[in-house]
Amino acid sequence: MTVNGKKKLSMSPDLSVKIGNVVFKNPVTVASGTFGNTNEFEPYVDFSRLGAFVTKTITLNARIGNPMPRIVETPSGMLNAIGLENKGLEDYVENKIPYLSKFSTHLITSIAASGPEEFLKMVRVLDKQKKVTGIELNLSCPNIRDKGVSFAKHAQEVEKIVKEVRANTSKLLITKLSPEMSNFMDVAEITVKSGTDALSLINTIKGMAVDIYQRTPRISNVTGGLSGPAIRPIALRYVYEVKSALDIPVLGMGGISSWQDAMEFIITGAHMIATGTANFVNPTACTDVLEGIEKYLEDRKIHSLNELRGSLKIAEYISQKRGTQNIIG
Amino acid sequence: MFDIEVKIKENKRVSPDLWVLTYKCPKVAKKILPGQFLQFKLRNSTDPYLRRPFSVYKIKGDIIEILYEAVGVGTKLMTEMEPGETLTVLGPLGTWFTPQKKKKVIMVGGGVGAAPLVFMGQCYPYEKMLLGFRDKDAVLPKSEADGKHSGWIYATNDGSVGMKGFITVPLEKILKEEGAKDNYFIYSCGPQPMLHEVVRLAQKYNVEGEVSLDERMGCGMGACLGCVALTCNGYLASCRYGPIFKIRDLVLEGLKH
Repeated sequence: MTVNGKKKLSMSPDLSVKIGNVVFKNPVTVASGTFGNTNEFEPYVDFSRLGAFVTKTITLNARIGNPMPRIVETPSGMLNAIGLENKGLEDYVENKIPYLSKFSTHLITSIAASGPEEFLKMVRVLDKQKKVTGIELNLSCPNIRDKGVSFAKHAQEVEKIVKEVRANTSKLLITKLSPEMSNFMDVAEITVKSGTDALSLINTIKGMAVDIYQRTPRISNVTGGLSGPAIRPIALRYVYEVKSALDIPVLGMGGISSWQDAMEFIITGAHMIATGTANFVNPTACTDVLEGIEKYLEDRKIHSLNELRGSLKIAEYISQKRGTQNIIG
Repeated sequence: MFDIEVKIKENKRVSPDLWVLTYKCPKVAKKILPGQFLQFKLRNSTDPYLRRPFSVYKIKGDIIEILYEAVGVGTKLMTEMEPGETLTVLGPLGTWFTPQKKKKVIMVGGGVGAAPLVFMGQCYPYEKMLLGFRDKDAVLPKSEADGKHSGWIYATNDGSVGMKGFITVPLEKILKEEGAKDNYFIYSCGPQPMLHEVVRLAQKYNVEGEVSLDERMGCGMGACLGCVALTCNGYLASCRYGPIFKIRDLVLEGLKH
């Protein structure tokens, strides 16, 4: 086909990706908590262009969140301790889902709860919601100090939650894990065995900043979750290690700000990628990434993103490097 | 809503602590209202990463002027920017001061909080402009002020310029007047301890008004919930439901003092 005398690919590249039984039109989504859960980004982004819309984490009951200050900027990133402020599940179902139903994108609802029972209560409600494609279990919010929502640290706890949720929903089930568990790979494996359809990697990493003049922490929660480009190499390493060891689709996130960043994750094996803190800096970050990926494929005349996913030349690269070492040795 | 790359026209120091940055942007200059803010991306780098919120100080035709103090990493970097360099500016964002038809307007500003009040004064009549500053280095030079207006009163903490003490002292004098409740309306912007006192006095004397909250912001569009203000309706993102809040909607305890 030619357009204005220029040769073009007969079709634009295929960016679609399948996880479980769900086909996403492209791999671009947004990290929970960075894109609101209703019309916050409507002036900037047509949500229908996204592979999926992931909500800010919803809890069963409304939460007022942490006192101010809740955020502070740090080198190439920020710390946040919002405290899962949200209006609760009922408000989400009554007011947010009808709005989000306007868009032809998959809706993934991020949820957090105090334990298996509360997770189940929420899942039973969400399972009946036609518009909801998937549920992302936020097992890793680092900013909760009260007993309201726990930070699932223990493998047994994670196993129980994922298994019971799995048994009670046919929705796509995604589990977001904390990079801070000391036995991370064990937990990841248990999560997969318990029936999750995918893993979201990674959540923020706990950090801290101090005001040296006041001699106080710079956020009210003392510590907060570090996000932004500062954590991108760590996120990528987790995606790499999980994809090396486990056969599970991964949604890669952590500091992705550009299409180049996104391609790093996809080449390493991520099924989907999410822009997070970048949405705060550039409200069209997600669609800019989408356009960039598309152009990258077009320029290289690659017809499907599947050709590149997980194409990291790792074995070849390592043996080549070893070979060099052997020559020197 | 626009996200526009603009070229700096001028970036000058107007006092030891204060700077004025100007650039041309007809679309936003035409649209932005006093009290609304803009999110500045200083450069294409990840450090600093977040945008910086600024309210408009003056509009002169197509030219937008921003008043700022070099206090943090971002604003220090801003002082080094030269005419011709570019910035990416998102906005207009947030709510604006509600113009008053019947009541006399008293503006109360602290430090660079003077900026949106000066812009408001450019657009609408007012009775008093009460401005407080730390010391003479921080004072907004009279050359920058609305020279013809007789209602400008300065105060500095050390008395080096204008009255000695907090600017809320002359404010209370006005609010104490008989009939103040029906006569006056307050617009205020400045550091939170000052706003705390303004809100406390306004509530005490039952005088209505609006304040601009300059909470530390993340996104500027109500998504991150990093900049919430404590209101009668609970926490509300000050970038989206503010930065201008009605004094009667604010919970005094939510403000630092």
